[in-house]
Amino acid sequence: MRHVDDAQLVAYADDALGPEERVDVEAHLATCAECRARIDEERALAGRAAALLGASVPEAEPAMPSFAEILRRSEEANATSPGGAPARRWSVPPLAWAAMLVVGFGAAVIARTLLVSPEFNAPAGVRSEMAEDAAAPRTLAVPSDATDAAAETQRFDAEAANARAEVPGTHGAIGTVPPPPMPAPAAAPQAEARTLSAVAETTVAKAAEPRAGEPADLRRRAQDAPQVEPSRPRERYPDMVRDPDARPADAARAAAAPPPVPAAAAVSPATAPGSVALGSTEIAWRGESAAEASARGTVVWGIPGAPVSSVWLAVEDADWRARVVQDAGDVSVEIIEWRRSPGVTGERGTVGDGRNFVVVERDGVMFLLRAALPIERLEALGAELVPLR
Amino acid sequence: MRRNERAGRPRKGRTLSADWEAVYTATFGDLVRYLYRKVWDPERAQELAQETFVRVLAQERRGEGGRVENPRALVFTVAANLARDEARTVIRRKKHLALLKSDTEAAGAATPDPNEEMQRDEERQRAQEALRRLSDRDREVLLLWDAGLSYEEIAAQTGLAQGAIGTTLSRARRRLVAAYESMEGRHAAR
Repeated sequence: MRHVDDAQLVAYADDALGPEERVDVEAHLATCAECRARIDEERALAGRAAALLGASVPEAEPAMPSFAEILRRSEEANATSPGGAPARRWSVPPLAWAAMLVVGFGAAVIARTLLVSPEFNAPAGVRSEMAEDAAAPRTLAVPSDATDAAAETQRFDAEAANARAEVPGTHGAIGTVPPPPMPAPAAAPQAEARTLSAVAETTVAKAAEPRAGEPADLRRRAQDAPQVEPSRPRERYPDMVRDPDARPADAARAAAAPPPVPAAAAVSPATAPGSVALGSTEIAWRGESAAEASARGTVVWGIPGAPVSSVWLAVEDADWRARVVQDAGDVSVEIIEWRRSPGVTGERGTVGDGRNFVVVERDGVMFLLRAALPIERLEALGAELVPLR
Repeated sequence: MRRNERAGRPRKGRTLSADWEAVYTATFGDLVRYLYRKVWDPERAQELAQETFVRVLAQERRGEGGRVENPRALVFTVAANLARDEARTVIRRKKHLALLKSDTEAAGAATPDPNEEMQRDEERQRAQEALRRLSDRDREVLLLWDAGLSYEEIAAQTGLAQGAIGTTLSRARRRLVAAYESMEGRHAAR
């Protein structure tokens, strides 16, 4: 029996379904005790959450000004600032503006004279070395495949977004599976690389900036910082990036990518693959090759003999534990291992993007397989699952 | 050409495209609660709620944005932007601590039983903390639903697919309850 999927079930419990969908769900509920129990559970959960939300605000009713008062203020806002710009723009007399400009300019000239030169604050012994450093040509190594790195960052971010979007509910969001990541548009890598180079330059400038009272060796280290070749994402975060060898398609994409932008490229932790602003309550994941996962002592399941594209591991509180993407012929198959049941063994169907899915059990572990393959083929692959070593 | 337009003045008496008074009356309380859970300051939440309506009505009177199809959704969109700006520009100046203190004092004056009130205050703090622990997306969806927006309106405001709202809501509720209960468990164990 095909059960109501999670999205529909919650929407039904929230009374947010359209009339037709509602009739369909009710027809199913009439014959399915399991789904009725899930509805009751959802309603209880919604009631509990609503009570907590109610408890989070002060009990006092907010003071509400009259509508006439709000209307008056809106008219006032338009009258004083027709274009929506602040009305107090010219409240400072023009003479005061002029005085401020003169003072500001003077301060800037003095600051430039005294503070901008790195030698100003350095001890005498360091000054000559810094002068030598400054005289030496300072070039930043440009990774020949900066564009490739940027493109990979984009693809990885897109997959991160997909991974975050598909964090499932207790029964799994089978119906809400996002489509597979799309390759970045041709112009995007260049733009990304330029952004990254801007980040690199800012970082370099900050690193080179001397600070008063800083020990000489620290200052020298700051001076040396730009000389270090900015590393590519996979070098800085070796355990967070897919094994490039496991994705032959990457080479083709890199070959088709525009030529590298002649600028330094560095990736800040905030933009590095695998660290794309994942909050502590969001799902955390990383991609790695099966060999890497195995080396960590993580056993993942997959189809024997099929090349592994990537392995994704979830944190403890996620419903799924691991997602392995493998190539079966010319299609990718996802094998998702669950902590809790994603459905009923033997459940099958089609997800939003047209791919089919099946739920299988192997050695007491539930797996969801999905791919653009016939269901019978998916079931056959599900029967072949083994721990990958 | 009208006189006001000739003088470059705004068209003061432009007809509003919706019954904004009814929207104001029906929405203000929900809006304050929504904003409170964003800024954790009751006075600031009220100010922002008023500012929201002032801006929406001023925009309406200027005739910007065309006919408003869903006034309530527009109000929450403007409010969310204001709250975001607030978070960006205002340093909280330890207002949260002052807030907790003033909440206790204000409610304490109205409630005769101090023990009961203390317990309620602890519950409120735990509920607030549980809400803070949610991801931004989960919290936003939960707050918008609690404010009375439909799945469709929440999807429009958050950029999520409408089909994903139910599962996101369910997950957010589950995490909220779990976070609250974990704190409650710790509290009981003390």
